Amino acid sequence: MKITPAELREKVKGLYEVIPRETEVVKVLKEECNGCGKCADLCPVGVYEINEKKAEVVAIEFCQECGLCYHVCPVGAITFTYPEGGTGIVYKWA
Amino acid sequence: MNYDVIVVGAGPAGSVAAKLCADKGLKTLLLEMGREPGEKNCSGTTIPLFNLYEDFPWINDPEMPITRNVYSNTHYWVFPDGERWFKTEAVGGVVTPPRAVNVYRDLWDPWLASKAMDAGAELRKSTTVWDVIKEGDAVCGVVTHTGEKIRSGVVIAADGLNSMVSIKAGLRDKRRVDEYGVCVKYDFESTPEHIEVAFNMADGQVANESWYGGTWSSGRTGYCWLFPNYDSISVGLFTLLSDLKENPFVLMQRFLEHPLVKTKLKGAKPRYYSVRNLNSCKNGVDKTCADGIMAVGDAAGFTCVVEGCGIPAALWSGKFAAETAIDAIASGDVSYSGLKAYETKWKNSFIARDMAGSKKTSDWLYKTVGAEGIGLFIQHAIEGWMLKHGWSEGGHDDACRSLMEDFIQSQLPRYLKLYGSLYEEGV
Ligand SMILES: Cc1cc2nc3c(=O)[nH]c(=O)nc-3n(C[C@H](O)[C@H](O)[C@H](O)COP(=O)(O)OP(=O)(O)OC[C@H]3O[C@@H](n4cnc5c(N)ncnc54)[C@H](O)[C@@H]3O)c2cc1C
Repeated sequence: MKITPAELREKVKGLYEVIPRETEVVKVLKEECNGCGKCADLCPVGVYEINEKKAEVVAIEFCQECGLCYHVCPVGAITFTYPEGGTGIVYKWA
Repeated sequence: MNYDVIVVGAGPAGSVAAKLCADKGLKTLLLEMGREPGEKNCSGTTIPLFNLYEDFPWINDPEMPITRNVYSNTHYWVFPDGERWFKTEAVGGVVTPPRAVNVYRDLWDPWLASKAMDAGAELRKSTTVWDVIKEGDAVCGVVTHTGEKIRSGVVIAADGLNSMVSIKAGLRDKRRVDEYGVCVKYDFESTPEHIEVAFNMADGQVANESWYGGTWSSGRTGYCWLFPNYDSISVGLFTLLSDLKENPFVLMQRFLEHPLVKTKLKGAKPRYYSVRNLNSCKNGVDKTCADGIMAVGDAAGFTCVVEGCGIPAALWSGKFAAETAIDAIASGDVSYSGLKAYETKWKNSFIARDMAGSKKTSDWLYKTVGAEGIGLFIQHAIEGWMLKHGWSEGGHDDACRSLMEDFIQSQLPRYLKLYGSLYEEGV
């Protein structure tokens, strides 16, 4: 089974809340990106797609701030930071 | 100076550290980026209670928000065809206190943070720390997302897995990919009646379930879990990032397709989906203290990978850091030489033994057990076997380690035989 980032976003939509944030929690450094596609293949919420052989953040509003992309990128082309307080991913388990 | 101690992050490590510092009269500030502690956190979530109440009597509080008492663990071993399985069960009666409790982090974390506030710590929510203040090499405060600078004698980095504070303070660099695992977790809404049947609770027994093998482990490492809450089921998957060849979401869907899992989740609806990293400690623990700063819990890399469990290490390292901060501030030396007692404390505790044990297990597996399929099974057998005995003996450190030695030397051949024959006969 393979799933495209767009299909993945459809599947997880509505299953968590992201309070709009100003901070760009993940960013692709275009000059560094080698287009390997790991971020797009592995991001569990479909934030990335590959366009013209470069990774692109296409759905930042889905990002759960886990840092997976930042760690799997083999060339260090992705930056990661937490957002300003009171924003971003929140869960209400109870 | 604004505060004696600033603790960054109101998870289990941070709230314990802040409470214990405030108990001794230190002026303590606890900073949390969520609007409430716990709202940005997810875990399994099971909190093992071994020895917890002895060292943290105040945690033994009837008000603690729990979703189920847990008395034992059931392990399902699924063969590479993804369907056939057998199970092993830890024997554990219904006891008081229970061996573990399941909780929701958005209720449990605020409850724990309230203990710090009751002790006199100040909690500031919706505040992200983006940098540290340094004088020379010494850390002497933090910078928040609004640019506000707050100074303190000691900073305790309790900011979890991706600890930005440890990186800014120079305790470590970005971790390598082979030092991380990833978890995806669903919360399935169900009913208490269905859960009691699906998890065989007829005699009051409650067991968490770990599921090993199958087709959802990408590469050699990984497992899934089903933890019963009162009216929901936590369904998670853990695998190492360096082994990851497929999207964790896809691996999770395969687990959800297992016939028995389907039965257990019958009528249940996913209401939450979450993703978080987990430390794998493969290359050992980072530097945990320097002038003016200590890192605790996940921020320091303390997760027992063998058991996938980080809350005990978070609680105890928070305690060790608080004790160290109290002494260092009293003696007027918050440089590395005043804080290095923290290192000694955790190195002499179960934390270091767990880290060494995790590393030993993974080194041994990677070097000794070459063949992927069987290697997968053995790792899970070891984890499960240790968990089982660790649980029933109520130990989490020495007991587990010596059991592992014993397992490798004497039990492994038996497991291999068992695996072979079960696989041939079919289950
Ligand atoms: C899916 C999953 C399941 C798990 N299951 C279990 C389990 O069942 N049992 C178990 O024992 N362990 C489990 N673990 C591990 C456990 O969750 C962690 O080891 C534990 O939460 C570590 O506690 P901590 O206090 O160190 O960090 P965290 O619990 O991560 O707390 C860090 C806190 O700091 C805040 N923060 C982070 N950065 C900043 C910043 N820059 N500024 C301000 N605030 C910040 C965060 O919002 C958070 O509240 C699991 C982990 C995962 C991912």
